[in-house]
Amino acid sequence: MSKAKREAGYLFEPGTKKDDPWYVKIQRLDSKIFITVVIIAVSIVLITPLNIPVFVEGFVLEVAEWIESLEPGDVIWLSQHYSVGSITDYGAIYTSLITHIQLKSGALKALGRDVNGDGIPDGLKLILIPMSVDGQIQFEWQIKRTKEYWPDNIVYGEDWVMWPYQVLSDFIYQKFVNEGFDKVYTKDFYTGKGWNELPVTKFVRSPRDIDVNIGQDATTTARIWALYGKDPIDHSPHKYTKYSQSGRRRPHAAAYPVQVWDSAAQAVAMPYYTAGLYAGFFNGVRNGGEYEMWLNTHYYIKNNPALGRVPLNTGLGLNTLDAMNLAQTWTFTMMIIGNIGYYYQRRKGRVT
Amino acid sequence: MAVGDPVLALVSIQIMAMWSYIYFGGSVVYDYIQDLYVASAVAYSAVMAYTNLLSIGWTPMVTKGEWHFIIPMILGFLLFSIISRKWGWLQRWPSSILLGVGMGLGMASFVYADVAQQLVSAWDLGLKHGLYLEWLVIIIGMALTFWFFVYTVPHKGPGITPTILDRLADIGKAFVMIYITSKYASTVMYRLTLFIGNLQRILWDWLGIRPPIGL
Repeated sequence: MSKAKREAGYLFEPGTKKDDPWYVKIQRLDSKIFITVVIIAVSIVLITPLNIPVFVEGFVLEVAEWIESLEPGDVIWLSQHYSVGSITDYGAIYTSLITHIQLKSGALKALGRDVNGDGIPDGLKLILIPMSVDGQIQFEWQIKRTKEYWPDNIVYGEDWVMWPYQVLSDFIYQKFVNEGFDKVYTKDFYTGKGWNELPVTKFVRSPRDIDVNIGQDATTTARIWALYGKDPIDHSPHKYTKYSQSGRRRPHAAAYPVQVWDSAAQAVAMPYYTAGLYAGFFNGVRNGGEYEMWLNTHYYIKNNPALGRVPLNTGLGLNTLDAMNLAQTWTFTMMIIGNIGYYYQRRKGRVT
Repeated sequence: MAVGDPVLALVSIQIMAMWSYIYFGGSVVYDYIQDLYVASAVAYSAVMAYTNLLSIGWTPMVTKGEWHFIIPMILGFLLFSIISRKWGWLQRWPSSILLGVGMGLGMASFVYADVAQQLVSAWDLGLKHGLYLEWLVIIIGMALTFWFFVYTVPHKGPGITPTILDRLADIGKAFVMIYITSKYASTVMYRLTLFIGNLQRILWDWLGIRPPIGL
């Protein structure tokens, strides 16, 4: 141990003297102590959840209720643009969205309505599009995580499909519009079939056939699809439903995307949302946890004759949210204490 | 319990090796993991790029006779000329096309989405929806922030008394600070989420210590 560290004592940064006042010491607390406390506290919460209650924000209700309003044969485009490194932040949003869509789809399919006339009862049509280089890894993880909750009547190729990643997603958006989907996607990820061979996609010929477009590519989607929209979305609660405004129904439904952003992006995304250029908006793990809460109170996994109605056991986002609340409270408490220490130092003339 | 799973063990050990920087600073372990991370990311991207090159460019060219794909492929190949001092200037062509197309696509919708629609919606907020307080804050904030950036004359100094215009720019600066503060706070939140995610990999996925949750 160096002389400076010996003088400071173990807990403090070099240069701190043992007889320094508390407000100096608190600012010079060794960052390793701070981080160790965070690691231990967060680990405890991850193992033993606090289950801090959260209220479901309007952002989540808006999209959840919109998906509830969809009908057999309606098409949902779900793309993934962020890299896998951020999956903890928005993973719960995607797992909740996929679960919700498939549960709703299963219920609609059970009605037995064949909307497009191909002889197969229609639920919702979920199209998964990886737009980042590791997007398909993320989708596979989310599918694996949620599949046990899907209804039994959900079939790959009929009700959902995943297409492989292609480079330069920004340009591909324009290509969809100019050339059609079947020219861009020729082999699906799991079975190698073409766009027009699969019942889930063969009736989707242009962006205008998409009813809900969910993505996360910052501003590009909003900018490109906005060119095809007519009236910006009004986010008033009474206008959530499918046919309430032009951005929420064909032929302009695809023009306004639901955007999934990470926690760091809310300040950037809000102007687009308030301007009506997003049909909906999810903000990081917080909204992911809230969506899980909404699902938990509105859905059951399936009717199992042996078990009865088994409630959906959600918690990835909520548990992460618990840990984040704790870590964030600790971080901001330390920031406040540090600022108080700085204020004292200024009063004592130790800093200018 | 997945402690025996070699992949999860490797992932968890790599995460902890990354965190070793906090306690031990730069070390052989940290350097090795950092290099491994970059190398595997590049390798994965390279394989994906190669697959795309085959499926989008090469296969249609040789099987369907769509020979026009040769142009972007040559242009793409020219990007590698940067490694040569003699031929490095050739990479300017594909670079300029990439930038030009990007700018063109972006600019076409930028004015509509980022300027016109956001201005109109800010204005409508109060006048159409009756949210007068929000409308006032947005309009004043927008105008004064704009003023802060364009009013680039000395605000104070020897012999200069701050004027009302200086004060207005100061208020604009306060709005900018509020934005930056909000961005900073949400970035802290985001970073903490990344950290929590890594802890979940170790505790939940590798060690199997997890509460009974689904999804």
